[in-house]
Amino acid sequence: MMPRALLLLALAAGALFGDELQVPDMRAFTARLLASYVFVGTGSGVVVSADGMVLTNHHVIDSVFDYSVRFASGIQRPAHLLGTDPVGDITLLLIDDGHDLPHADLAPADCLVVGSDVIAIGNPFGLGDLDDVPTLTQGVLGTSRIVRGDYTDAVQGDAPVNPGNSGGPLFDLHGRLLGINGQIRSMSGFRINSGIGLAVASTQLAAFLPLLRQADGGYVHHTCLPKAVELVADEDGVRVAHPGETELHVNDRLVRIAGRPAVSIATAIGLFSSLPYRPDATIPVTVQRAGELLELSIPAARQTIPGHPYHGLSIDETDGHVVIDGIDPLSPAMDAKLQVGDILLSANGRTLAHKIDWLKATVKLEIGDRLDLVVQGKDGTERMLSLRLRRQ
Amino acid sequence: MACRPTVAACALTLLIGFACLDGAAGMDAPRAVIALPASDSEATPCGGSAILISRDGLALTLAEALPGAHPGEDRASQAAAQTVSVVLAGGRTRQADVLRRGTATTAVLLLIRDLPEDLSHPLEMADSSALQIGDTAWTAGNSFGAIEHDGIAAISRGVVSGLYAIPSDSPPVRGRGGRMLSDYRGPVIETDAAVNDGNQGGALLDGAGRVIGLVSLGTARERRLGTAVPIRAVLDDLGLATGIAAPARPADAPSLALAHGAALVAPSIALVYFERTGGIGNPEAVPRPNRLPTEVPEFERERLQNWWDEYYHQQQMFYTDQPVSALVIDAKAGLLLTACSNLHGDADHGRVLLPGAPAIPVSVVARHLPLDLALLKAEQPLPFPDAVLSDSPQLVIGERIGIVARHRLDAGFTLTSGMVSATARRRLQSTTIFAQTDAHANYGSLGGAVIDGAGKIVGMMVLLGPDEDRLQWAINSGVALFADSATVLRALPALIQGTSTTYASIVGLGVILGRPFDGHLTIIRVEPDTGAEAAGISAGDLLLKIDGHDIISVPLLARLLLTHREGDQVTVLVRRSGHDLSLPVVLRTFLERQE
Repeated sequence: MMPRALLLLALAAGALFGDELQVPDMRAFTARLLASYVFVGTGSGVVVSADGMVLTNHHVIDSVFDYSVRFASGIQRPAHLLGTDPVGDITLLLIDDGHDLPHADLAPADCLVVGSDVIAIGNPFGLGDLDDVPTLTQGVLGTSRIVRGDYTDAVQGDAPVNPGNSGGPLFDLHGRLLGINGQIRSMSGFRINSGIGLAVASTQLAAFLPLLRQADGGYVHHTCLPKAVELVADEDGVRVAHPGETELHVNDRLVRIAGRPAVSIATAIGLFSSLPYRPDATIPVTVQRAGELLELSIPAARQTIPGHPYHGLSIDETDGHVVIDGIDPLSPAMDAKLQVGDILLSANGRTLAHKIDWLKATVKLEIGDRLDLVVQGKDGTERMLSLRLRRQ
Repeated sequence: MACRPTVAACALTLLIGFACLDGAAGMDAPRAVIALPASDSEATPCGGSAILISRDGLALTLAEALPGAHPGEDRASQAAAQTVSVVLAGGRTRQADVLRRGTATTAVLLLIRDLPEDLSHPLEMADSSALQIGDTAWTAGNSFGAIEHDGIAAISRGVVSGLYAIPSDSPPVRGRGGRMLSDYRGPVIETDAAVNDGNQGGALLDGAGRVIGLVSLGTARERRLGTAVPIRAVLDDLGLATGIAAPARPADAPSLALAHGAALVAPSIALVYFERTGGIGNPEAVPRPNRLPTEVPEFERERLQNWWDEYYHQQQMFYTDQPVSALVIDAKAGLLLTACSNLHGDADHGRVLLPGAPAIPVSVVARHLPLDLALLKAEQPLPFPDAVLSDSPQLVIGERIGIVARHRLDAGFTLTSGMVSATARRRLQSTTIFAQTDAHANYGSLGGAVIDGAGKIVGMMVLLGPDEDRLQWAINSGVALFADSATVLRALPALIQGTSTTYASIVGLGVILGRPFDGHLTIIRVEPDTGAEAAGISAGDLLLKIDGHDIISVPLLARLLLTHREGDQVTVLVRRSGHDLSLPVVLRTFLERQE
């Protein structure tokens, strides 16, 4: 019979790539991981602060209005939306009146090492909806930080991940949060584990957390490839075909973007999109020009959130006034307590007298933008309010 | 211009060209795996892989990995391809010439032109004939274009889960839309490490990062796990057999313990063949949906693909006509335990298969439906050792376990490895508690033994997944339920006495629910003479709420209904043609499943 100590090594079996790490007390270790796990909607989430900030996927909460979470203990807690990233698929919730909650710490970049052992926790196939029992699965990191479509800073793991794992944590054997599981890649057509689970990496989580916290229930944006910049691939990698209005030069070879190697066109474009957008944000780019390495700082452009911006208002023109004649239920306009018959005096600083003024004021707005209105109610009182366009 | 050695010269290079891959140097292994991108004309999203085996740029792959390869369907274009593009570690592109093709296998020898200096660290090869089931195995390849995207192969860890031959009469393996992935037939190393489209031609590595096989997309259909063509077979076929430096490295200690346990348990697992009363599907003989046209709208494409997937799954998996595993509980008395799921619904008789001896007829003594257990009795004593089920299994979440099973008489046993995922899993409206593992489970695992890291039998593999009505979700999903050995032992006396246990009755609405649509469950059928019918619920309605609670999953519905009794009235909110209707429904009891 094998000694028991060997069993406890079970998860540290990566003789080739993994660090030689032991989990001395598996029962205590998994209990610790489970304590920060929450069920969210049909998916999963993880508590990342003592006051109850919960990370999950945007696609988990996209179509729900109830943000409450349920712990593996069965305890249900109300929560509200702090901010969401529809492009990077990350959402931050805050548990109401949370304090002293068990939570996971984000893993620093140097923990995202290919071959290291990982544990995913989730609610595959909704199994835990019946018994409040989350599912733990194990595997290794199959890549370091990669770009896959809109997941511009992701890691890939082979721990089984299935529908219901979305938004759930991917831990290392120190219990650090390596990422938020969000996608699988499969050719079989069945949306089940293929050994390729993609998680938004802790590095991107850390970069976006400050913005998500301050988003006041709204959207955060990604950067993107500056306008008119064109890239081309050749035998030895990626180079600039057109620099747009940046300080890039034609034929600059892209070496690193946002600190990560630009090994392919898809990766390079993704890396330009991997950072949180702020008005003064720049993207560090290392290029090789005439044999020399140059460090450049490219002003970041804001990435548009795909979809139709939506306020839920319809208007008509009456006697030189722009008047609300319809408000959709569950729309930003209804949340702002606008009413049919209210007169819109101005929108984003533009005085409104005709329908065309309203069109001009709103036509260029994007998802997540604010619409600042001055409104005259039916009783004649004027008030200022601001609503945020969301994705329809 | 790099040297262009002849094949004869290359054999020499193989002998002297290997870097030692000990310790941290093992990290180099993925850098010697290269991509064969799909050709522009292909509808497939990713190409294949190859492995670098000499400093001069010699590389090995399989024909199924070459651009434009549709094995078995387009041999002519394969034969024509003499030069292919390759993507090397770091994202650099080069051309490679096809030097030689195998005849016994689909092996292909490539020579890469102008191999960059920094990439001249070929993979070492290890003798795959020394492999044992349970040895650590890694895959490294261009899965879903990983090398093309990231400039480095993606890796996955598992074990050598089986060593057998895919029979020559097996149907080819197809992917989405009916595209043929592989028609390789012959000896394989099966692994539970990830193998996906793009891995074909890539590396299966031992625990020291040495090549033991070239990954193929060929699978045994009752297993549907990744396989690799043993590297020795590849080298023999190409006349390069001098390249093997050492036997494959034995597994690490925990893997060895599990492998050792599996080898001890395997002789107590019998293979039983049950005649299918519903007929046997030959996937290639049954009419199938047409291959997808390329110009269809995206949503239509998805629907057609789902149709194809379900068809394919049913043909490939459900109608597989293979013997199944059964645990020998009492050889002298001829008693065996297997999973009810293995009986194909209603089989009462089968036969235990023995190598080189007549099969022994068995009959079903009793069934325990909630546990998915069936007790079988053979007409004569069985020439197997008894399986000893642990009466006090210690199942700790996170600790390693394995599934040991058999699927063909000539295939030895199989072992998939994982850990305990959960220990208190309830199934829909059942009082039985199951344990759960992330070890890959498939039709070839049902009825097998679940062993812990010390080799004790701690359970029996009874359910591939959470929901037997949607088995296609469950194959190798990493979500598999098993009955722990103490629970099995408790159920055994009644089974031996011939007493069957059926499902407990449950309270319900009287509707059959389909796949979620737009975040809601769809009612696909309303049972006659039920509260749902009386209330006017109709097929096609979306189920939104019950008594004000959002119903977003079947388990949530079940959880809610657990609090009710027959005769209770609930308010059901459904959406029909965009309008929400609130309907009072009186609950009644049902059998969970009608047999």
